[in-house]
Amino acid sequence: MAKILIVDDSRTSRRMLRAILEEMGHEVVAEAVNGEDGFVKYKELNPDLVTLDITMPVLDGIQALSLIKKHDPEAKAVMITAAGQRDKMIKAVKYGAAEFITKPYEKEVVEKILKEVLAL
Amino acid sequence: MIANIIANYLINKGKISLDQYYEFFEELSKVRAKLGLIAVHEGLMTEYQADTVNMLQATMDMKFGDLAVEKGFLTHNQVQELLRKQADPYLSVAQVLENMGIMRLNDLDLLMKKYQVENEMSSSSIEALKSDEIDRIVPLFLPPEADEYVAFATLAFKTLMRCADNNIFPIKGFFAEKLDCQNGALQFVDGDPCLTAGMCGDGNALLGAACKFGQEEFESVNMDALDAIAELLNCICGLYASELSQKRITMELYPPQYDDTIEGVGEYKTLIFPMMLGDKLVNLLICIGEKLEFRYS
Ligand SMILES: [Mg+2]
Repeated sequence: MAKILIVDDSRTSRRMLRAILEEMGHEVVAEAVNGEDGFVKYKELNPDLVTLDITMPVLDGIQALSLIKKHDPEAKAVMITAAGQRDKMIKAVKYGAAEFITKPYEKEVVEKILKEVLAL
Repeated sequence: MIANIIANYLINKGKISLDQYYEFFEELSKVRAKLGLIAVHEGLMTEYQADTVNMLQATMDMKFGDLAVEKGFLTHNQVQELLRKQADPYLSVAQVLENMGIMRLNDLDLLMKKYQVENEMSSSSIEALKSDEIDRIVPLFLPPEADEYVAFATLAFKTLMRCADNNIFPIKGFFAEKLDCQNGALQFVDGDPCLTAGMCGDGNALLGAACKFGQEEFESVNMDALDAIAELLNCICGLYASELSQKRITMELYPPQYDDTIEGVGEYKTLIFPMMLGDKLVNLLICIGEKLEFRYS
């Protein structure tokens, strides 16, 4: 069981992801609604894994990733993307993202990726 | 989708009741067109010949095709051809209407002629409709000079069909500078050219789509329900950006906005593509080259 922080500006997306993660037996330690909020909560809670939506106001997922990685180079971050954000994905890899999950969520895909990343 | 179009046309014309409407869709999921009906449709047999074979079939343990060949109505090759057509969406609709005693194939063909005239459609457009192929159908419902918009509209329609409501059918789209509506979501996608996409409605029109996509029982189209609509829009825009990225065109998605107290959306040339999601009228908005905003009173 891992402690996970969900960062996503959409309540719908947070809810759906939380349901899948909790069903897998993980603990969602907090939800954050934008990149800045996510960075603050990451520092405060030091979760085992953070999911970062890419398209968010204030600070987007890529900006939050770079802050989190600067703060904690070992951070495990899974990026959540709407399909097609190829340039953003390349950037995220450069900043050290562990994996990508495409919306809308498919439960089996989320489970597989989370297992892989947590095993790293 | 031809099934939705016909069922809704029938109900609008008072030819079927609401109960029959629901029964129609239930039957449709079970039925395959019978060879006799297809043979009549293809002009290979008359209705009388098909009825004769059907009656004979009731007393003999033989397949329709074999009997029709024995009677000299069809050749073996024709039977093979008819078997291939059994999954035809229009013929399945015809079969259900015939099974329910609502109308026979000839009457349905006449009804489609009427639909064609009322909607000022060409015969080839009607053939496209009957094919049930979304890529052929969506452009029929867009106004002239909407070529630039076809790709987005088609992709959005397919995504809505998959993620929001199976019971969906398009209504004739048009260009307008602004649209009056009570609630909705907009997403700006930057690029060359940029675009704004939107989904808007009145009252609880967006409720069904929000509940289905958000997997939550919203009571009305409140801000939480609109958050689900905004995420759905985000998925559509993401898929569109994905298609473009294969042509090495980069688009940047901005966070969607949504509000439940608007007066409308405007004020640039926008393709308004209305559609029925279940029994609700929903508008898909596509504006190429400008950033649309909500309007408030
Ligand atoms: Mg987002």
